[in-house]
Amino acid sequence: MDGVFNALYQFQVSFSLLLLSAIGLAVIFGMMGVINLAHGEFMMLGAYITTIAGTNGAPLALAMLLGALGVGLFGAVMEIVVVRRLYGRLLDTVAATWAVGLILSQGTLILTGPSMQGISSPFGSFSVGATSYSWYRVALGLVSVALLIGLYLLFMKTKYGLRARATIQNPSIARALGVDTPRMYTITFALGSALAGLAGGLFAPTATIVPFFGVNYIVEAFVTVIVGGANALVGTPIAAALLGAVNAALGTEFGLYIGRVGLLLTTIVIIRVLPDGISGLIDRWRMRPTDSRSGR
Amino acid sequence: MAIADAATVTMLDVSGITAGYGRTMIVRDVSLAMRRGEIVAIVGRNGVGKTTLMQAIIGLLPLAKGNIALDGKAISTAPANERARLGIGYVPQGRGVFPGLTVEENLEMGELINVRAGVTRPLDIAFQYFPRLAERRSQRAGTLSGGEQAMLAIGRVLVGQPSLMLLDEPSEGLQPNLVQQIGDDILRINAELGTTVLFVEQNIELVMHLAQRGYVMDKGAVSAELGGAAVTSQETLIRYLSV
Ligand SMILES: Nc1ncnc2c1ncn2[C@@H]1O[C@H](COP(=O)(O)OP(=O)(O)OP(=O)(O)O)[C@@H](O)[C@H]1O
Ligand SMILES: [Mg+2]
Repeated sequence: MDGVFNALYQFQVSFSLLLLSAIGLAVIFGMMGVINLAHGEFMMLGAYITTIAGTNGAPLALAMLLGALGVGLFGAVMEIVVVRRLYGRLLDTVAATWAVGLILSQGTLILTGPSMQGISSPFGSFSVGATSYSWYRVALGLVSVALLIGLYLLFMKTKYGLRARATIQNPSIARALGVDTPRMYTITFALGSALAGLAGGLFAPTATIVPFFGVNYIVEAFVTVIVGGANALVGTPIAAALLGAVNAALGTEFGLYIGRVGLLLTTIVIIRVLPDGISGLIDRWRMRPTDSRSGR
Repeated sequence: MAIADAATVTMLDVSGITAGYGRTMIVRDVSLAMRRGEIVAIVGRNGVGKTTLMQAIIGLLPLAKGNIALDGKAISTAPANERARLGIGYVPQGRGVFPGLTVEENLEMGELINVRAGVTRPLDIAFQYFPRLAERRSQRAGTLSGGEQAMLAIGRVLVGQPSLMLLDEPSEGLQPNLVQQIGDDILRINAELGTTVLFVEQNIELVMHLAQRGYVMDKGAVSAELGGAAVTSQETLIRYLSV
């Protein structure tokens, strides 16, 4: 019984780590086809804003919200100033966003020094059998699920979501139907950035606050997005669950290092079989020819 | 006084426009004018620049020269999304439905058209003209038949109740009976909603069925204007369209 609980706990820890790390990257990649190499630094920025707000007396939830808003705003400006000029030039956006990331981490190092006093993780711990668990890690799992539901509603049930999905499918037709597509891109990039900032803020109480904070999550973020494919709503959660299961199973049995190796090996196998990721497979299945009249 | 009259009579005024891709100019010095409620055809052989002209009118391609006015208001530099909001409903060649969106979602995408007019815009108007779309409202557009996609593309702009509809080869890929039916639908839309229609077409029957007058394009320019008699004469049309 304790073993089962432990396995479930470890799974949801891995799942939420992968999902939260990846979701902002996945939204920007999936909705815009842009690979944001500053993603890790956006998470770092979120962690710093959250920590600074938290140590200055803001309630933790508010501090995290400020982290998300701050990074979202930064993302909006970056889209207008840098990314917008490079659409359709994948390698150029990769280089430009990488450069922004470097400026952010080096700038933070210069401004705040090699590390910052962190905030402690709230809610305390509980025990099942002889093992002690963190309530905060459980909360991260719940936040991940809530975030997914929120994003699903945003993209599937709002006008913004509809127009964003239309824009990714055919930007010129969307534009000819009245959609201000440049503005859609700015909003979407800001949304992905805010999600990165939120993830950074959520992880801040569990990590040391250093300018290279993002490095701890960037591998997880990228493997999840690659395995998930271009559809952030469908692919990312499934990939996070799949990779989370592998990572947790191996990690509990053989330690963190083997858990991480397993993550990468699983990724390699999956992209070998499914070059466009899990959501590519699902999209092909959903677009299969059907004939509703014959009732097949 | 005379100016005000002219502005209300001429709804679309394209004067001397030149447009193309990058540095290659395809459409050269094209002028055309439409009165409110007219149905006008643009005919011409493959590759003469008909689609390029339509894209320049809706604003997907910038003008190198010339001017476009809608209801007396210059729109030459307005982006496509702004022109749509001012009342132009564009149905591109090949339909341009969003394959991954449902029929209903595709129709909702027409809501921004003519949004400046401020009328309410229920999706029902599309179902009224194309009842088949109602049966398929939650089906993904990519899985519709060619005829249904043609209806969806027209229904989608209809939702916005455009003052001007631009149709680029509505008959393309359709069986003769469907061409006839789409033609009837366009006539009904024009008669009942007062929508002005500018359409590109190579199907002679459809041109004869719909057009009140027309323009012939050749090598990116208007080479002839066709009056009411010419657009209903099969011989004349064959002469302009044959290779
Ligand atoms: N995106 C593009 N980039 C460069 N050249 C283009 C592009 N699209 C079209 N052209 C060229 O412009 C010319 C006119 O093309 P356009 O599509 O306007 O012709 P059309 O009259 O609509 O032909 P069709 O009857 O076959 O649809 C062609 O020579 C074509 O090769
Ligand atoms: Mg064409």
